[in-house]
Amino acid sequence: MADAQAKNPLTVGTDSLSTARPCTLVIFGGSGDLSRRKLLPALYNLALDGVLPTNFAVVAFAINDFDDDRYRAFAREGVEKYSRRPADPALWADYERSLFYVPGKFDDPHAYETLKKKLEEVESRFGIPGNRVIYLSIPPSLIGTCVEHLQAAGLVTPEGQGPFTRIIVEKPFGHDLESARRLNSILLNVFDERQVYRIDHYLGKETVQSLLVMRFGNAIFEPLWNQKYIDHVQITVAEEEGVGTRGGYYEEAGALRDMVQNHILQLLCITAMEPPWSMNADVVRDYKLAVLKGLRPITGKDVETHVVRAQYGPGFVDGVDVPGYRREDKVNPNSSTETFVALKLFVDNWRWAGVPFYLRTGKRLPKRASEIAVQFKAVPQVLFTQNPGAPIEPNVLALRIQPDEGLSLKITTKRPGPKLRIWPVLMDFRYDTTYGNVSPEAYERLLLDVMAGDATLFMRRDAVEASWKWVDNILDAWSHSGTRWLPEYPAGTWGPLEAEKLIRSDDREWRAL
Amino acid sequence: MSAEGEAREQGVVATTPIPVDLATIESVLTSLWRNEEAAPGSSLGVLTRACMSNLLIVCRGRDQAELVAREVDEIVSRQPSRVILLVFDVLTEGRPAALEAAVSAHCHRSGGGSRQVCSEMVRICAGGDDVRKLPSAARSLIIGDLPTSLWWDTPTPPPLAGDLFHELMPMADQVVYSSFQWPDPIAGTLETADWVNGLQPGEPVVMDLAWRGLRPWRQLISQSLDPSVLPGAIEGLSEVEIEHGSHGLPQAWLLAGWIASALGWVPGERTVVKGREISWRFHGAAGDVGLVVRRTEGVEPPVCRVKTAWRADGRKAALTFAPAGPVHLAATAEGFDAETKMLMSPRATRASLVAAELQQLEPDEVFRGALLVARRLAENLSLT
Repeated sequence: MADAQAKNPLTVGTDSLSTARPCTLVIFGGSGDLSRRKLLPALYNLALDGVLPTNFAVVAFAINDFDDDRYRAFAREGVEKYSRRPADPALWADYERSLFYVPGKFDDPHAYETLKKKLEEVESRFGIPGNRVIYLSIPPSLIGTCVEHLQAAGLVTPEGQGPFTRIIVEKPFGHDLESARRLNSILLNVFDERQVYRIDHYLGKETVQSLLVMRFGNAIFEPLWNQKYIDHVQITVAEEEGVGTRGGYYEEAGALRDMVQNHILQLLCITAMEPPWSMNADVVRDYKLAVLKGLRPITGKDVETHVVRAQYGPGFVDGVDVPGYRREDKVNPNSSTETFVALKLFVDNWRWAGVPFYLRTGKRLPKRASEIAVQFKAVPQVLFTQNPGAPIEPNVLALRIQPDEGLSLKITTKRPGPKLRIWPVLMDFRYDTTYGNVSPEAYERLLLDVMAGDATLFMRRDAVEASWKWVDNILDAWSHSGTRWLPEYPAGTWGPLEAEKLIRSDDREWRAL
Repeated sequence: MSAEGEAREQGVVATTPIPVDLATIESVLTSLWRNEEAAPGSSLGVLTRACMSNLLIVCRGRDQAELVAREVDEIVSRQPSRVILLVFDVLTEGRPAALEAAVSAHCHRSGGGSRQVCSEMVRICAGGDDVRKLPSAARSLIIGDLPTSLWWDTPTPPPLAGDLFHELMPMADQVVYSSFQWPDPIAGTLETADWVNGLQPGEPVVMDLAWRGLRPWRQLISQSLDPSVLPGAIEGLSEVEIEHGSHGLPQAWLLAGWIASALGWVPGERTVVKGREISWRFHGAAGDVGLVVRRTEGVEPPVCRVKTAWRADGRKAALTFAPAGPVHLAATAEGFDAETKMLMSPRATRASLVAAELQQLEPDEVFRGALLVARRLAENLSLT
């Protein structure tokens, strides 16, 4: 087999989106919800854009008793329902001919033999040189089994020894530091770290990527991006939905593990990192890791003053009665799992000394909204002091991650008229209206990056373990607190009073989203 | 705006142009948008005015202007812009027209259909001596702080275009032209290659729509011949055949120029013209390579078929690239077993090529390299 990474001079000068290498995408759990809602629609859109490799196929491997035709119908249903662009009958036939399905149990060695045979057949038919991207869309408890069987069946080529094998792992990357280390060692027993892509779809979102460009591509922000000019930062990831059908999983996870340990800390890293000296994947990830290492640990009694956890009770969302968390399906009626977390943290380095970062996330909040808001320090209240009770509001730069991806800058203006009246206004940028079309889904970008071998937007082992190390302090304090009582907030509100107190004790307010 | 909107492809709505005096264009545009924003129930509904570029378009005569005006809808739906359409050699009742201007709005739905994203177009027509006034009119309408692209939509290659082009070029960050329109492909290629090669940093980035139209071909060819898929194919290439429609010769040269410059082939001196077929020899690292460029009658100008052949294990192998239906480009194998490969590549309109180009303001060194080889091919042919 030829070296899959041999140089191709004809690709020089083509943009990065078309440098995905010929490969087969093998989706473990390919008949699941993630495939239907995200992966298959993302692949379809990539095909529409003509950026998938020409020598490309998808082989789904899962327990359902599908065949290729049934799987193609399943894919079409997913694309029709969830794709940002509808399934075009004229294009569909070509797209679906590269979709295949292998039924089998993840712990059955014979199923892996069947999978291997199918892969070889597909690769021969499509001229794919043995490159494989394996997407593990399966519960974490099955990862070890799958990885071992993959190796035993000869489905893993060691890094640099021929065609590539890359593996994509979905969160949760463990349950705590110990389990994360265990998971990493299972993966790294078979794969090299360079072959492992830990996916956090938040990092594929346009605004998140744009944050790096905004920070380091504009001269006006970076000089102000430090403790001299920034008062504080707020990161919010609010969900309107409850736990739905994921009660069983959520009971074991809770908001801190489900959102803070991964998504929110990653957003924090991009917000707080130093300018990297290159956009090379490992350089960017080194600088993000430095932020995680700089997080001041919240331990012991500090957890009570810096972290609020709560659980939603019954309430109204969009005018509809919704049950409290403990009444949700597969949830313990006496559960003490948090569905809301608010916390205050500090990054102990020169740039961020003394600048609090307030993070909050929760389920059953009034709306789905994620943003990073940087509030600058107030100007001296000296010149425009007609109304001492209404000081000039500080500038706020808000990056909306979802929905309505974009950013706004709150600035102070004079209202037109004979009197000097100060008024805050928003300079607003929205991706959809400015660029005139819908941004690609995060999975589109991330899948293409894996095919191209670009790990910049994926989490490295050390970052995963560093974030767990920091989160474990809080989990430990909670487990040793001896209390099972959690504050409750009515569904459809912005969280408990304790969260308000957390920020108000610093004379600040949560942003109204 | 009281004018009736006209629905077009992609849900774009363009209002009927409002004639305006040149001096009042900005104020008319301002009041136009203010009225629309204040009247959500109006013909356009809730709207957002968006602008990411200035697009200066230059064309000749009213008929071409009408064609371009229709294409603007598609362009601004992909890249919201202030469009300034400059039309020269305009006649009114058989005589050169005096300077005249009109403004219109071009809107499409975005944000899940909840809002209209709108661009504006200013059309300025002139005939006779008034054509000299077009550059100054354009200069006053360009929005500072936004990149400016100049789409030179005439059959004259830019370096041969005279005063109008040379007065407009300094206003632009990018010049877009189409070699498909050139009546003399040899002269056009020679002059344009020299001009592009002589451009200094700080001068506009130049792009040929014919080159942009090759992107799917380049993608399919480069991926199909990838060493990981077909080891030895690229190094062993011995023949390349390119077929094109009438006026597609410069594009065929660019495609050949791309392969040759990427693979380090040097054009030889021998050029043979046989009917509609022209052949060249290249000197490559592994020996000579033959290039045949063939014109096919009755098809559209762009490249319509490419064949690459090489020797593998002592046998001849080939891949033929050609459109397969309206939305695919296919690669078909000869001499070895392989599934036909397909790339989704819906047929590109001029407008879609221009819109894609507006989003690409960086210099394209691959294009420059291809154009220099194309120049050598044109030069050889001119000496034949």
